[in-house]
Amino acid sequence: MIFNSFNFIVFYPLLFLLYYSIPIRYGKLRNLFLLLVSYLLYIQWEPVYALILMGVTLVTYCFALLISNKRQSKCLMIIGVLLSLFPLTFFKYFNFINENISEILMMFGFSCRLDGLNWAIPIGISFYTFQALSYLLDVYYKRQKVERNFLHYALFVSFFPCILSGPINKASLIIPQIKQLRPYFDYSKVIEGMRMLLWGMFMKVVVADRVALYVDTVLPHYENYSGLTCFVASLLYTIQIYADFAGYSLMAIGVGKTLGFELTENFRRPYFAVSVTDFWHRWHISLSTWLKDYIYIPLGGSRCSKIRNYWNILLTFLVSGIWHGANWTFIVWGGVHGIFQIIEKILGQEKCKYGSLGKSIKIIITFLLVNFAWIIFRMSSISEAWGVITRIFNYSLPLSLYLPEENTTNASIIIGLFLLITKDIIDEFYSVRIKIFDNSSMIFRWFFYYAIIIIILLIGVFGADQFIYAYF
Amino acid sequence: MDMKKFFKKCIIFFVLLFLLDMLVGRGLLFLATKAKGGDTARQNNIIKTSQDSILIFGSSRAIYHYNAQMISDSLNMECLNCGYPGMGIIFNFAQFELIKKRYKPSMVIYDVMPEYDLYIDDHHKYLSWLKPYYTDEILNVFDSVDKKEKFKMLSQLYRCNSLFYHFLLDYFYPVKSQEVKGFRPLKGEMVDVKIQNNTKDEKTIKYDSLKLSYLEKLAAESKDYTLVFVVSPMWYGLDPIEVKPIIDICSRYNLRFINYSNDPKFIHKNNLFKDVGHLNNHGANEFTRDLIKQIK
Repeated sequence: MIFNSFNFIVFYPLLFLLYYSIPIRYGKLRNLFLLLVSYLLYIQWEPVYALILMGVTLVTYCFALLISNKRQSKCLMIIGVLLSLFPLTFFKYFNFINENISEILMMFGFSCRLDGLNWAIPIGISFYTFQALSYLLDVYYKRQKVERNFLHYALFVSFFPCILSGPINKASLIIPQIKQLRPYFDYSKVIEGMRMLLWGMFMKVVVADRVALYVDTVLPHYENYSGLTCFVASLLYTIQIYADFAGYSLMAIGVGKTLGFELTENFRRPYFAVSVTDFWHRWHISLSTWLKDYIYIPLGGSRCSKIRNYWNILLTFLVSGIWHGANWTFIVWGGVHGIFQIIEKILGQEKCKYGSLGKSIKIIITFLLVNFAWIIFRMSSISEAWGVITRIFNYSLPLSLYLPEENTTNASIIIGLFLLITKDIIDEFYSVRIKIFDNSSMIFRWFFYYAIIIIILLIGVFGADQFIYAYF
Repeated sequence: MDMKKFFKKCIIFFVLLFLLDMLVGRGLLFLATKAKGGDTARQNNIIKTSQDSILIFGSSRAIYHYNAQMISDSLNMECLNCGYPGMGIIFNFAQFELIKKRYKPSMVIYDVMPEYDLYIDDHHKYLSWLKPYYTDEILNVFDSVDKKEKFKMLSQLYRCNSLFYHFLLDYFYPVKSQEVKGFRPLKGEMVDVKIQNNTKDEKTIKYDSLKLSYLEKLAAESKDYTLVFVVSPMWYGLDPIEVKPIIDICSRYNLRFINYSNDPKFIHKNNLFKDVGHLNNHGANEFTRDLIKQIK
């Protein structure tokens, strides 16, 4: 379900009322209700793809049961992982693999081209596949007890707030919450969830979708704009992808909270990171945790030689790149992040050992490095990404800045950015002293809620119906 | 107890929100009706008070390319440039419906821009300047874009979405406009840009069915006035295949279609353009002169 849609605003209160109208003694019925809702919402995208969701759920459920009962479980684990990854590989990477193999063969004089697939990628497949795999691998590594109740497990995999774009939750966090009788109605949790929904909505429709108007004008036609304009567009894209994805995650976590669930934190003000290593402790935290637990550590992590450790970092981030999409731009983007972290490790710069000035400089440098990497991520080919980067550094071009004619766009971008940056600064550096959403004064809190709602209605971009990370 | 407290607070919250929406939203809409300048006053004039015989519709290419005063003087008929940046047929059709409620013009010149008038994109953006003037005459336009719009329009604040800045500025600090009869001359010339191949593969072009339906409607309802479709000059030119639907519509309804997009007088001429999509003042006057000769 798209959280910034009109359908959500109409549908969700109904779902909320129905859920809480089920008496607490019928806890199993509540879970069944959530499972039905999750599948019904998934079916509205493309009914047949619900079968793939069910398939991945069944495979990981059954193989987890088998692994827990058998001694020779490594073989079963490998088969289970491969079977679970098959739909993701097929739908998301078939065309990419096909095209690249064909090109390699053509280089050697062989002409062998299979027809590409013209099918849409099942929505959320990258997220729920990884979530299901994390359970299977946790059972194999004996970090998680096997879940015998299929309904509980199916709800864990398909839980509707997270299925579209995460967070990728651990079974150890969610399944106990599904199994236990959650409090009938936790007032403070519901309020906190609604605050998260509100702020997430602001981030998406006021900030992300508004700056997208500028980014989508400039970057696809970068050759018609000055280097300064391309640089500003890259900065705005850096903000767009953060506001879009973090906004969605916040809404997903908020919806979960209103239903009594605690989901994984996914973003922690990533652009205040003091290094690229620190950035990945703040950006898409659920994915970087998954990569650390199931790729990096099994490869040896840092408990090996330095060279091996650097290789492990690079490989982990190449996997991260591949996960994001079937294009060389994502793989190069992942590789660039890996290389940045290796360099930081060599120079001992993962953390900040300096005072506030040094910390500020490190934050700015990290932001710029991440910003340039996002250019590779955003463009549709490596050559276009290189074109944008070289244009930014082409000092022979006039120093003109493209400004949209529509003054509201400019004013709206400024207002949205100002509010977002201010709140993030407060949350990062002054959270103890300055309280906004959790201010003790009800008048202040309500004033803030109303101000945000009015801003959303006046400046929000309505009609943009997708989140960037839903494409992954 | 928790739940009762929650619902009680929700009811109070939403009642206050409704009142705020009415107060702030209606306040902004009131300021819009009293705008003293800027885009708001311009739109008020076009939709509520204009009586010009010749109307020009289109996107920024209309507003910057057609010198309405020159057309008025040459054809001895009052002309008004109703173009607006970023707007296409969905907006222009609705705008024209609101104008037709008051009077019928003698001639309509429609400047075609494939991106806004023919290609698939998000339609919601074309409704922004229609929201303050939302009435029964254009309800079907809103419905055709999104059936949920009529529910969203219950919010007075939503009617001011993306426009509140204009409403405030145009009432409290109205900018003295450089435009004459709706025409906005652009100053400056283009810097060198790489010439690109503009040939398009017909199979890759995806036309928007809703936009085509409105173009068709505009053509079908043009019995009482002269309708002319024009593609004004473009620096990089235009593959004629891109405007094939317009050519087909003009052929079916026996309408004039004038295409300047590949006119050698304009193509790749930096001194006539401000940027690749827009003529400067000099270029606009040259184009208007040429157009007048054709439509006289």
